[in-house]
Amino acid sequence: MTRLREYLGERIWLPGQQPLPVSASFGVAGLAEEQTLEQLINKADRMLFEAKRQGRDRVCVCGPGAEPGASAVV
Amino acid sequence: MTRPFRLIMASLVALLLWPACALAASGVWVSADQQRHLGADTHYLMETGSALSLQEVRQRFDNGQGRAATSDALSFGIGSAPVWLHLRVENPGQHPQRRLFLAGATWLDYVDVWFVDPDGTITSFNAGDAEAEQQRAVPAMGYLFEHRWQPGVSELLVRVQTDDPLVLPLILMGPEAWEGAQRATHYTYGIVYGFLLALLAYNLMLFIGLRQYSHLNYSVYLASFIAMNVAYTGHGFAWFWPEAFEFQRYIIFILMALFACTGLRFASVFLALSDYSPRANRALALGCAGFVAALLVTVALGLHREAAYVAFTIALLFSLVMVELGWAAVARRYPAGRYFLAAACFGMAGTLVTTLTVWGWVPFSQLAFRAVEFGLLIEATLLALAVAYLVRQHEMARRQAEHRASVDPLTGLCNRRALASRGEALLAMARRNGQPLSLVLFDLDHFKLINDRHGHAAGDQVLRDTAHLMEEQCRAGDLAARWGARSSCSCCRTPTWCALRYW
Repeated sequence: MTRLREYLGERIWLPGQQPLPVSASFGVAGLAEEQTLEQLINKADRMLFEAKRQGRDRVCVCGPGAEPGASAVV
Repeated sequence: MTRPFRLIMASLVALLLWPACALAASGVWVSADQQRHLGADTHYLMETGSALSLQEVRQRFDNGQGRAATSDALSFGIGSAPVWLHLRVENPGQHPQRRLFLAGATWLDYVDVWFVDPDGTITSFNAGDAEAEQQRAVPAMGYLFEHRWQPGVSELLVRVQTDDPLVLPLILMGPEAWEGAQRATHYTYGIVYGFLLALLAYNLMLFIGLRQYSHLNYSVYLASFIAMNVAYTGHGFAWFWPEAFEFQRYIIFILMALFACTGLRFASVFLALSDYSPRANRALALGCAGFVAALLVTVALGLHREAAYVAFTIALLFSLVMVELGWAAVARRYPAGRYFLAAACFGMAGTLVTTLTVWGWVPFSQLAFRAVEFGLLIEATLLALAVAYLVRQHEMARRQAEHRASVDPLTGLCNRRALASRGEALLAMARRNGQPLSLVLFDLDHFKLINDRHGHAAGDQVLRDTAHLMEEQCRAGDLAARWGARSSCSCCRTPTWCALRYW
């Protein structure tokens, strides 16, 4: 993911023009027991929203078993 | 011209004609293992007025009123007057010898034969398929007469009367040659029927399995060909309806019409004619109905000869229409059109040659007479390929549609729908193996600005590049998908990406 963020900053080129550094916001969720795909996606989505709320260009992670609110910023 | 010169010319002409006279006076013969087509050795005359007696006919032939036949197998077409044939057979040996005489198509109504021995003894036979007392035909071969030929020149007289096409191959053969000919006939019909029945059963099973009506229609078409062939070769009359004389009179014509109609039905459905040209489809159905009605009327009124004309017209038109349909299918680039056209061409060539042979427009030969069988074997093989090809095309189209439904067209990544189904599988696998799995959702910051500043083409390029980077970073077993704009928001929302990966 770190590499992907790096590459987004370096390797996106506009057609026939200069490179265009792009940043992205990430929401990551780990799979917990008894969790459906839907729930997993919702959790990641909330993390993504959190990453944006905190100012974009960052990763918010919610590990398995962790409460959705408890996020770590990388 | 001087007198001696005339004399020399006359004697030259006489010298040239002498071998012919000598041949006419003697007769034909075959050894035990030989067979010989007698067409060109016969003289014939038509019984245009009232019926002639054997005595009268012999007299007329003796007076040279018979016409020399030119072809090896005689055919007089549909609706011919009764025909008398005369030829001489000469046993050159010292002892009587058994030789077999095979005459005619199996559907002839009356085939009467007289053998006149050198001492004047007359033996006669009455054969045909019109009455119960007549001698029956050998299926697929003709009417067989056995005779012990006395040494010297015997005469052979034949009278044939029929409302069916008057096709009259005449063969003299030795006992060994007869065995060989029978064997050849059995084997070839075994191959023809075996091949067609296997194909029929195969297509029927495909229909039961796949529920595709092309297969059913094709089976019905094959079945009607087999039925028609069984009828006109005489197998049916010998095996299935030996007592049904009226039935035998018309069943061939009815099955010919059925063969044509089922063939056209198959073609119409196979080539999806109702989609491409509803008018042609309707015209085809109307044409079939019209001809079948005409045939049924002639049969109901007992107009045998007219029924024959209608049936043979149907057979001719059928083969031409099949080729025309194939041609039109190729012209509109129908998937299996080329196979169909090739198949129809072989089928048509066979049907055409056989029909014209029976009608008397093509010189009779076994090959020409059985052309429809060979044509149909090739046609059947090509049509089986065509049906298979069409099934493959449908399968490929289905797969493409499925692929399109699961892939995001811009980036080639999985779309939301495919993520849902494959994601579940990944989740189940991770749980079973106790592997940690995480889901990453991300979107590009300020993507709307990129679109606004650099245009949508640039925006699309950025999306494609992002997808490419994502795929690069994916390991085997990971799943990368384009999640798309979130459902809660409208289209201007930045696109979101999703990756599922094991850690």
